[in-house]
Amino acid sequence: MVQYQPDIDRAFTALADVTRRDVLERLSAGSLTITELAAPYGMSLTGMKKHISVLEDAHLVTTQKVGRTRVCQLVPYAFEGISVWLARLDRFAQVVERTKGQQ
Amino acid sequence: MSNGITTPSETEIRIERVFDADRAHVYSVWTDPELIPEWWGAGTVVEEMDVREGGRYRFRTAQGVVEGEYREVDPPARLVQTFMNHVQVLEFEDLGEQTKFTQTMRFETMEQRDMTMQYGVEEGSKAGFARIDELLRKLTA
Repeated sequence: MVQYQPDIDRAFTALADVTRRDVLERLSAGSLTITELAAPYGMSLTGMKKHISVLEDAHLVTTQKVGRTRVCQLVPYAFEGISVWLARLDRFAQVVERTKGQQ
Repeated sequence: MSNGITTPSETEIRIERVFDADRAHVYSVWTDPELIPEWWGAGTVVEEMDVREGGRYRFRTAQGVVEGEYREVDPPARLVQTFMNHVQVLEFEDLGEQTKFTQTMRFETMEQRDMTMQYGVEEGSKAGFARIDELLRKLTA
């Protein structure tokens, strides 16, 4: 559907930057704050916020305000869609079948 | 077994499915940490799984970390948990030897709901995101 294409364009634009790819890699290990993300690059918080905002626009990262800090996390499963959930339920059904009567 | 997928409201997606097992068992597969890797995929590590109201779960999967909080725990009938950007209401209905499972995904906005719906069913977008997924997998390998 054409209306969703911009999201994919934004995702590729977001990925076309070494710092943002590095940020994604670091977030794959778990949530980090803007301050934590900025530290290794000697980057200003404003600079990191801009990178995070590009990643947010591309729906690759979500952020949440916790007190005075902003926590960022990767959203690998936010876009996996219904087909992936259905495939997982198929696997779930197989586990149900296999473990039935064991308890 | 067939899946029923509906959108009961502007911000919800519902999946309904009948499993050939009793309700207590179907519920336990959802809440047993030992069984999580079996259906979340090979290599999944359950780092935290405190199935109580307010308790948290954290799975390290091949596609990244999945985490959330249990909001309602009412075995073997109902489980409500946060999952990344939405809330999942899981209902288990006793049909005797079978169990009807209903998963309602509640999003904050219609846009988020539509994206999750769209990326799963629309081939063009799916192909686009498959490329991104592949790229992300390489980046995070």
